[in-house]
Amino acid sequence: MNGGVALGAERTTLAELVRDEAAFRTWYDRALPRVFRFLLARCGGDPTLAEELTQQTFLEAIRHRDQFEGRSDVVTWLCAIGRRKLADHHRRRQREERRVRQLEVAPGPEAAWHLEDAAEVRAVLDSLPPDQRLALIYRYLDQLPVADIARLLGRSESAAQSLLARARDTFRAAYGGRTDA
Amino acid sequence: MRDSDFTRLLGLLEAEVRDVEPETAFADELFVRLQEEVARSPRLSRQMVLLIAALLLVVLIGVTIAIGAFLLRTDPATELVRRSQAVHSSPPPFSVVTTSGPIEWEVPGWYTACSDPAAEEEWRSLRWRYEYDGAGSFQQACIYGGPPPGYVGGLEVVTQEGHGVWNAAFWELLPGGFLNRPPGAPLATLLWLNWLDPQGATISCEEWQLGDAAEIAGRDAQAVSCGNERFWIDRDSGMLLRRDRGDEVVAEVLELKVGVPPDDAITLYPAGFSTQLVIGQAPAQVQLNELDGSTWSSSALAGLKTAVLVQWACPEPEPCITLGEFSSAVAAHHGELGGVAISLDQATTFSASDIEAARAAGIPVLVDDSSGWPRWEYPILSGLMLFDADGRLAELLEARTVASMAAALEAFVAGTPLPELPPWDGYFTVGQPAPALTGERLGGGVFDSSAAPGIPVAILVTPRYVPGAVDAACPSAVAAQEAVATLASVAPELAGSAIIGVIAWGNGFSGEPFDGWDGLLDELGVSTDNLAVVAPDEQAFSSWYPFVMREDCSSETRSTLAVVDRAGLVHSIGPPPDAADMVDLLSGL
Repeated sequence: MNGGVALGAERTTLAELVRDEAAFRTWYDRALPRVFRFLLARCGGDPTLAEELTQQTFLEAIRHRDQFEGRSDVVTWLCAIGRRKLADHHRRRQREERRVRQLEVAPGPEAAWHLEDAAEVRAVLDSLPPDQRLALIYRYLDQLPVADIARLLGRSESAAQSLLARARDTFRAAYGGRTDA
Repeated sequence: MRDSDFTRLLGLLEAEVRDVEPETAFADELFVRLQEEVARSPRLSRQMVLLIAALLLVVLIGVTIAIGAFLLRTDPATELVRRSQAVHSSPPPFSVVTTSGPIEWEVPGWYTACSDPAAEEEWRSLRWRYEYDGAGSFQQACIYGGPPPGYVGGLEVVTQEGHGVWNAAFWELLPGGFLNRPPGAPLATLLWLNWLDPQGATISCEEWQLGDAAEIAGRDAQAVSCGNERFWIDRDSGMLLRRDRGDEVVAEVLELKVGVPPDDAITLYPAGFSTQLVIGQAPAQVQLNELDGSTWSSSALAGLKTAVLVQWACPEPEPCITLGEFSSAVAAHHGELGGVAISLDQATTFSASDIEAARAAGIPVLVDDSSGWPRWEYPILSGLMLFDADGRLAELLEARTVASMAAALEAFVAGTPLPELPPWDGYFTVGQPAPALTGERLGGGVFDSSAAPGIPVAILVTPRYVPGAVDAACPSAVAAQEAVATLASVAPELAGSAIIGVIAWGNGFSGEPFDGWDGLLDELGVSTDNLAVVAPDEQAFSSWYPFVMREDCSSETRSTLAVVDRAGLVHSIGPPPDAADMVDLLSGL
């Protein structure tokens, strides 16, 4: 297995692994940081949200451990689960933001932008609608093809393509505005 | 902004968290939750799920096939096709072959006819023989004459459960020789059957198993099986049924034949019982030597009804017909009945005077030097064979008493049914009424244990003649004298509260005097008022003496004390206790 998070030569399935508590803990200690970081990078750097998504990811993985047959890196499988959890989270947040935006005024320009600073990028992403934010993350951080992005976001491929285009425009505008400031 | 710019900018997000570690508390808490999840929801492996699914599929297929078979089933036989019929005009020969190795046949000092408590009054023992294992149990094979044309035989296993207490188990032989033995019953006996199947081959089985009752084509049948082979015996005809299923369902009735065990079986297992004589059939031809050296042939049986007395050893002290008595009984039917006497051992069986009397009555006296018995296998303890004028065996009786023999010969000559043998009731059973002990008593008069109802009775039965010198090397003789001495010591104390008696070997069973008993009792300091020495009469002897099996010096034949309570029921039968226990026992009844 790759990534140092293999299940072990003698354990080919997650279902078998969990029966051995010591082995399970060893594997968990090595897998958890990778999944956590994966989600932390994609949830706007919010550690609380990253922990919540990580927890959901691991719990779902354990509940459906029989579906993992060990043919791939288990962390890859976990990240796929986490990616879906992230999408679910953004969908919920998008519904909430729609309700809130009906009452809010548009936010004013923020100060203290630093070019190409991770925080700047994160801030720009946060200013984007959730679906646009996810589309950019999936496309340019996870390097997913448009088809996978469409499946994750529950859209058609052309709709996902349009969403990506809008996301790029929004990001450019916001990022350009900050760099111009 | 090109795609590469987006990739570079968003890559900063991952670079930013490259060294971030999740909180330890979070990690531990999540791990605990995962463990709980594992414990709460044990999961079947995918392979197990597939296996279960496969099993369910197999079950589904099986149920479908069963339902299909039921819908397409062929009805069982409804008509009986009789190919042949086996009619037993004589008792079917059967053989019991033991597997316990060579058996030393021993003839105890008493015997009984085969008994079937459920049908004693209907069936009559035709012949019997038993083997005694010397350890308190024996087996006897019997054939009973039942309602024509059926004959039923059986194997009776008698086990001694305490001295004088016997338990008899009887397994019926179904027509054709099937041993009606419950499956798993402990019996070291194999029954060899030879059945003829339609192709003429012999069907034999080392151990047939009894199955359930069944109805085949409306016939009441009994299932039997040998391994995977299964048959049914028609209870009415005794024929063998075999049910087949197919396009044409037929219930076949196969001819059932029984025969002697195969030769190799006899070689392998010594024969314990076999029957060669068949009621209604002429016996195999034999030639025997007369005492004068001439030769007698069984062909001489034809032409006149003939009674044949066969005797090897009179089972003393059981009543035994003498050759003289037989000769007189035959002579009473002069011209209508001939007589023949056969002994396996002339030197010890017949007295010289009886032989002379037999010759005078025209009765050949033959010695079977083992050339005839293997072919006839007649009873060797005082049996009476009756042959009709055609030389066929008409009946085979136990020659027990002169009266019963005379009655049997009378009926045989007259062509009327033979009288039933008197019942034999010599068994003692604890808790059951005890038979009375009657007979001449030492000092004169008649002793009757039932003359004083309400008083306990203790009777010491010894296998030895007690008075006189005791052979110290003979345990039973020593024990007998010790037992008499013990009984004598308590007799005065129990005077009036218990009847104390002794019956002992040689106490006038055949009219012998009470030699030596007066002196013995004087020496022991008791009188015949307190201790009755009894010479039992014939009926009392049959009842009381059997549980002292024989007179020999073995430790197994020591004296026995039979105790009857105030109600006349057998209280106990066993070795005589010491004096103190004997007083306690009799005082406490």
